[in-house]
Amino acid sequence: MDHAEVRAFLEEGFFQPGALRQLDEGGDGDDAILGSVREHLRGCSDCRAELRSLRATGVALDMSMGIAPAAEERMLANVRLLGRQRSAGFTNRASVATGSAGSRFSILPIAAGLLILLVAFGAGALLGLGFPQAAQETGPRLEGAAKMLGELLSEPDAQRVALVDGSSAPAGLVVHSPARQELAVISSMAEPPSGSRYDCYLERDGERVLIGPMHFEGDTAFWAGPVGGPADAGREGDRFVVMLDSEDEPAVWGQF
Amino acid sequence: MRELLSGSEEALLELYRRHADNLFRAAVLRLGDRQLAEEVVQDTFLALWNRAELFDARRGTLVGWLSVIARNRSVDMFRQAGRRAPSVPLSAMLPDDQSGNASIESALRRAAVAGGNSVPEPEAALDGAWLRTEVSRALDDIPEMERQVIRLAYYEELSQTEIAARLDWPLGTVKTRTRRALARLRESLAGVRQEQSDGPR
Repeated sequence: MDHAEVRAFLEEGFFQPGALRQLDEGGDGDDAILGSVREHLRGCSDCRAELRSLRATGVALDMSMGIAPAAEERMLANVRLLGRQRSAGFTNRASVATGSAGSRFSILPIAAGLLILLVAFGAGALLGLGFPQAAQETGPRLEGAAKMLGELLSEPDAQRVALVDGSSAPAGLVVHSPARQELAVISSMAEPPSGSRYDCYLERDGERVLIGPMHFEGDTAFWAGPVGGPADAGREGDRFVVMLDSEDEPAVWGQF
Repeated sequence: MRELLSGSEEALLELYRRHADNLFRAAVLRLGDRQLAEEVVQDTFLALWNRAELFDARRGTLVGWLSVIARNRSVDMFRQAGRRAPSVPLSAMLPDDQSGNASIESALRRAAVAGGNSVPEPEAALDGAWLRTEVSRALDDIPEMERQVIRLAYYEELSQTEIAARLDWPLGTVKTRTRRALARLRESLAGVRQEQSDGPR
């Protein structure tokens, strides 16, 4: 890539939230263009200065203009998806606790990821939300989970349980239909260390019933399928927990 | 807050409209990235919704409580993104050999502190206000048509095709004006930087 191409890329990225930040992240799954831009930047101080300048211009604009109007809708969508249910008639309550340090999870990607999946598989209309839609390649297992997630959300008895991690930060969402005795979970939890796995359990009165292993595709952790164990799974006090196979304490959990 | 506790989305929206901008600006200054800053705001209002019972007006103001949540979340993000490059302050617009002219950066830092505290120090609050005024002035320096393009593309997050439809301009015109607007804005901001090299007033 030459200077002109890199600068055109940077200018275009300036207007796309998160695009310039991608240049810092260096993930393995990035596309070839991003890799070429990074390679050019490594060896070109002029283009690095251009990038710094654009970022600083962005900060200046943000200071002047404030938060984007569309963020309000995203905030509301986020709360509807992942917040506890406060109005009468809902059956689930998210675990509520204090503390926030050290979280590995980020709520917006969870919500956006969920929406991408729902939109991709035709269930976005269920929620009536306006997240940006992004292309995401998915395997058949994730497609199946997304489809079930959409179906469960449309069930009249759907229970939504917000997951939190060890520092009480939001960590994902469980959707469960007692009538169908099926459950789907989506989380942004990181993949387990090599040779380990995360398992999902339903916990009642300290007893855990294995539901299934958490799967990972891209940045998405998920599981979907029938809930084994008690026929009345999802009653008040039950917990959904995800545990590393080598540990006794849950990595993430949520309470029905 | 009482309405929020009973599940009123309207109450949540009212609080959002009152406080989101300031929380966002403070987060931008800390993280140097608007998407991350928006995540901080999202998380803060999700926490408000989920934990509203924990707010005790006898112990402090709501804005202070929200600011602490946002600040903690920003710190989390810094830790979480340890491999990410540090945020870029406005002074990064300066060439490397002019690092002495760091008035805007120091104003940004002080303003960040102001944005994160429930009771900002007067000087820091002044820096934040100064910064906004200067950037607004820089924006005012560019022609209205180009300012409009910047606003639609950056603030309202419209694509160039959407801008063309909104303004009834050919797509090529949108592309040209967007590019020119960005160049002119950067030039205008550089003027602010130069003017303020002795420190914000």
